[in-house]
Amino acid sequence: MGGTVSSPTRAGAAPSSQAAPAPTGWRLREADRGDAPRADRYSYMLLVTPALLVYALVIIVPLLYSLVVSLTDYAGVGLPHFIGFTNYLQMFSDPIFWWGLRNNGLVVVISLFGQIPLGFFLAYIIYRRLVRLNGFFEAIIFFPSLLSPVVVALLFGVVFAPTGLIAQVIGSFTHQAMFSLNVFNSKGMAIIPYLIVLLWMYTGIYMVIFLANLQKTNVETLEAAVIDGANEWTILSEIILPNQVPVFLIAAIYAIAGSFKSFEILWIMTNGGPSYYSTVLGLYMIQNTFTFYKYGFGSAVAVVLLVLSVFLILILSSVAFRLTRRYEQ
Amino acid sequence: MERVANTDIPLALKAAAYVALGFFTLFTLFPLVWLGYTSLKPEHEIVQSIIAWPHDWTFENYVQAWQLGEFSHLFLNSILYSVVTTIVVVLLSLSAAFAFTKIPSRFTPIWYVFILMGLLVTVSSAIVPIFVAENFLGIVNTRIGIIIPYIAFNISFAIYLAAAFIRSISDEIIEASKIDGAGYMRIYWSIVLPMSRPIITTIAIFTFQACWIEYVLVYMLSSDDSIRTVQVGLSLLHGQLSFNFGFLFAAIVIAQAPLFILYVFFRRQLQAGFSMGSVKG
Repeated sequence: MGGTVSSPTRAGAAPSSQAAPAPTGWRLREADRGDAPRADRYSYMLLVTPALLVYALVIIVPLLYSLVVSLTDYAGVGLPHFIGFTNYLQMFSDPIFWWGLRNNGLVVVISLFGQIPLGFFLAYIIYRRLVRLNGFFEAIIFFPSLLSPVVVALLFGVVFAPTGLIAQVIGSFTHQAMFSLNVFNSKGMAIIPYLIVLLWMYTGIYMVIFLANLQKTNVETLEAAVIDGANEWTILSEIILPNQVPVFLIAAIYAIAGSFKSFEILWIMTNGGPSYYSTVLGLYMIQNTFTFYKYGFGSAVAVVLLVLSVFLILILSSVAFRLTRRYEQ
Repeated sequence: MERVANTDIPLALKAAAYVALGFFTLFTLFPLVWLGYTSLKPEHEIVQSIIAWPHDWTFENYVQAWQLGEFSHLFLNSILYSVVTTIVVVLLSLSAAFAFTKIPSRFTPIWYVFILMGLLVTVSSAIVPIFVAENFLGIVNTRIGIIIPYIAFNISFAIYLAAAFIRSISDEIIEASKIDGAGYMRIYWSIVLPMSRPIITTIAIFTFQACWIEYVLVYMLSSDDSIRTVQVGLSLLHGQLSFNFGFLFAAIVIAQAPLFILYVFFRRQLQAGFSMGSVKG
């Protein structure tokens, strides 16, 4: 994860006079290149080992295991047989996989072109004090991001249900007492409530990310621009937006990583239905593994998911790297 | 507060600002307010209309939901997992982050990137092997079998936050203590840890929240009702009482209550945690 997002100043003042830069890639300190005396090496090991051990045992070892199991027909019991890439080939010829990918794609789209720009605009409004009651709006819009997926899924399951909140509101406005909302029964549209929920839930996080970074804007630059006759449009388009380009890119990386991760809401809200039309790859994997006990196949889906998100993030990072370099020159 | 660089705001921009904020505020508040008052509405009124304001307010839904959902032990489990995980994650992440940022070692870049890779890995992509391994070790369906993965899945982000903070502690303080004869362990314990209080709060709040809302792991690793959490209990309650909105909504409020308290008292820390590099969404 390269690049600076924001300093921890909002968590409390940094202990030294300088603001803390966030980690920039692998280079933590120039001093990393040297090695410490033996006593210091023991301290290093003592401090680092517990975290690394738990992490490696619970996350890395299972991932490697998945990689191996994905090449077998393991079904939870009995001995696995090596079957090469059969699971992968089978997955790529399965229409459910492609529906899952389509829906994951839509989730990426709503994150990149919904949550992020909206989050930026809301942060900009609050940072520039374009309206009154900034703090109030900030607090309200951030709140949904703390809710648990189960809570959100249950709540919005009722909101979008055939005779749920939206149906009844529409019904009472149009005087159709029996109005029912059939979005959950539509092949192509069943994913839409989920996309709306994602927009509702997570835009606040992007607002908070942009707000933290906007607060680092050099105030003198703004004041100077105003003295030179800049209006609000100029400030937005020529000072603030160019400054936030790296943040947009990092937000995009988070959005992609997140888009492939979450599926709990969908699991409870639609369970991928009707039949499989609202599934996403995470859910597809869980169902194959725990409903059909196709451990090998499920592992193959897990591998594809991880490869997809790493691939997209690498593309974005290289774009980010080039853009940042261009801005620095 | 004064507005810096006080420009004239074009009317179109001001209008767009009010529309965006107003829309988002309504969009956020409406479902939550509806959730709140419906949970206080008697069942027969809900059957008549799910949108109407309650006529007779009642706490009956809460009493029923608490008992039917067996929330008392679910709450104890959730609190236990969240608190233990939080304490361990704070300790492990600060130790590792201190070593990564302040003790020179050529291994640091490798280990640090290795740890950050964890930000991409989800519970779901590792759940099958975790299940198999825990089965083998005989800790599936036990509390420790839930807490260990909880720690692992929260450690990457905590180290990321802690490293960003500890790096900002000036090297001169550490060098000075070394000249005075203090070893790194001593420096860590008596200088760095006390100075890191702000980031400890952030990591603790953040980890607690992440544990409290976690669902997939406990759902998959527990078959025994007595070790389940509030979130899993809530999702199972849904199956039983799907048409009883009153109970369901009261249960939702109960499950969410601790996070609401966290939000009221620690919103700044939560925001800081997210803005320092969230991978949720």
